[in-house]
Amino acid sequence: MGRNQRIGLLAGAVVIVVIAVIVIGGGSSDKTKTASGPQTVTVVNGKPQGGVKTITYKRGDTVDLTVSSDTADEIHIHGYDLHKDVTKGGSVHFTFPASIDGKFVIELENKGEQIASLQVEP
Amino acid sequence: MSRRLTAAGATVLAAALALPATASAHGLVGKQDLPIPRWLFAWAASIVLVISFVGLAVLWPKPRLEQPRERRALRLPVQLEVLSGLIGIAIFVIVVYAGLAGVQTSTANLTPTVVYVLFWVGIPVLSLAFGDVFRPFNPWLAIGRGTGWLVKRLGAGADPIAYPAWLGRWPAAFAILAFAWVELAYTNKADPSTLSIMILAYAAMQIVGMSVYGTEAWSRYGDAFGVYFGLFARLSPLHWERGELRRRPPLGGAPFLDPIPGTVPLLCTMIGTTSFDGFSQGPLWTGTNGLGIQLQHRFLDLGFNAEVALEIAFTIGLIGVVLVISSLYRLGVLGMRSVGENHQATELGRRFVHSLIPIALAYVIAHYCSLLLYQGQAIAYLASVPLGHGSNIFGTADRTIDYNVINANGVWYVQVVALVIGHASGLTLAHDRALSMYRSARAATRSQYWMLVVMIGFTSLGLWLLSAANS
Repeated sequence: MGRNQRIGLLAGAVVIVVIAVIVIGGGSSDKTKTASGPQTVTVVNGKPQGGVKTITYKRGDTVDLTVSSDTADEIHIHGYDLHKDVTKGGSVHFTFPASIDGKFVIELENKGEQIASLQVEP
Repeated sequence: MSRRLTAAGATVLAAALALPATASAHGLVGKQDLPIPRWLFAWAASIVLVISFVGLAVLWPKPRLEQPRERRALRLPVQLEVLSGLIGIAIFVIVVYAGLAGVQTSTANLTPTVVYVLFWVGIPVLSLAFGDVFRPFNPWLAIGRGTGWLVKRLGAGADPIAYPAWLGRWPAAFAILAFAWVELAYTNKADPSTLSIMILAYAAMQIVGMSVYGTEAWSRYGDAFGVYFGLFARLSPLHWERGELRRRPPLGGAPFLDPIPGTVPLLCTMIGTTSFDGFSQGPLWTGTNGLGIQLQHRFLDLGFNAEVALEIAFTIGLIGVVLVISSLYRLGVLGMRSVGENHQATELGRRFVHSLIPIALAYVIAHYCSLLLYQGQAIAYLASVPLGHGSNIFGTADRTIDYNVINANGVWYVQVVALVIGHASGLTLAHDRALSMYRSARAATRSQYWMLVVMIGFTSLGLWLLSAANS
């Protein structure tokens, strides 16, 4: 490979770096629409009303979640490994610190049905 | 009228499905990775481009990796081989037995975690660091070697048939595709007893293969898992061979990959199946108008039940993505052919295929590092209660998974670093091969513009699959 070709390629690399810095630095940083505060999931006929929704918190927030269900089952929040029994037509309330980041399945343990996702962002 | 009713029924059923099967990866973990945020995606993509350009400019002008540079570090006693083989067989028996006799809950039974996490993801990582560590413990190979030794002692047995050249690594390519199908498309994937039966069936096939073609030949080319882990071990600085431990530079084993038939399909299958795993969790597949959902509805309408429709959809997707990956590689090869010097496309495809090994491993690490780091911890309690009840062998039955062992940021950096290093390694291997194949340095460089397109394609795809754009 010729010397000019090498210099050309290196110049190309520098151009990419410069563009990257301008685009990434100048572009708006991700605005995470973090919805803290109390959240409710309603289970109808063993399914979550309105489909499987993602409930999002920032790490360090307090998760405040109410699940009301027309089916008796056990609510299981994976990762945090929280279990609470819900009676038919009753509701259960979870409050706990969002200490682990990631996206976790919340399910009706006995039916094996996912009713929501808990997303904790860093 | 009845047809309309069926269609209506299928629609209701489809709506009721809401597809939970795709939500939790591999049926074992209730935790998914957070997608790589946009800023990190952008940085990673630009680093990949910069590395590529700088690489082309500064990489060496003469082939460097084509001559073996190995040094013996250690001589190993024969007894070690026998011992490791016996350990391998013992673990094999425990895993199969636990799956058949234990609790049939995937997370409480030893077998699914061992198969999908420690074996499928753990061994590739170990192979990168320590070389082909699977081979001495390979249970079916140990059985085959033991039997061969016994038969020889007794003076019985016929000579094996020569392994057919055309068969090459095709058996491995098909078996890896089959394993990926079980892992990603089969609805009973995490059922312990089903897994045990499949393990037994696989081992039986290996024993048949070894008895027909000889233990050495079959285990080098036909035994899918042996071949799969062996490919990754070629990147390792350690090489275990014939009672010796040798040292070599990192990536040192890859250029000596014998490019027999089936090798290109195998590598494309490896990259394609991992890609499909990422793709099938994203909105283009699972969204309301996603490809996966639409395919499922199509097959529900044809009268298949929900499970079968899901499996068919996933099968189509899996094979489709493998074909896309194969086409991308083929495109690069055809591009290289246009550079001249009369190389045939098939020859070029095979002689550059070793440069895909680091890409394939980078995909595995990027997609499954969190599975290994989180679910891998489950072995601490599963080893104490392999059947899911009634024992506490090591006193660790009450352990749980610590999800704070690595946080989301940590996982992102592992993913990005793996993909970037895989990219740079693939590029290096391809560059070195081009120098040895092309007579003029100019043709070698021009051929590498094409490989660069392929590599950037694979790495950007890998990043995209993990990024916010696919979540």
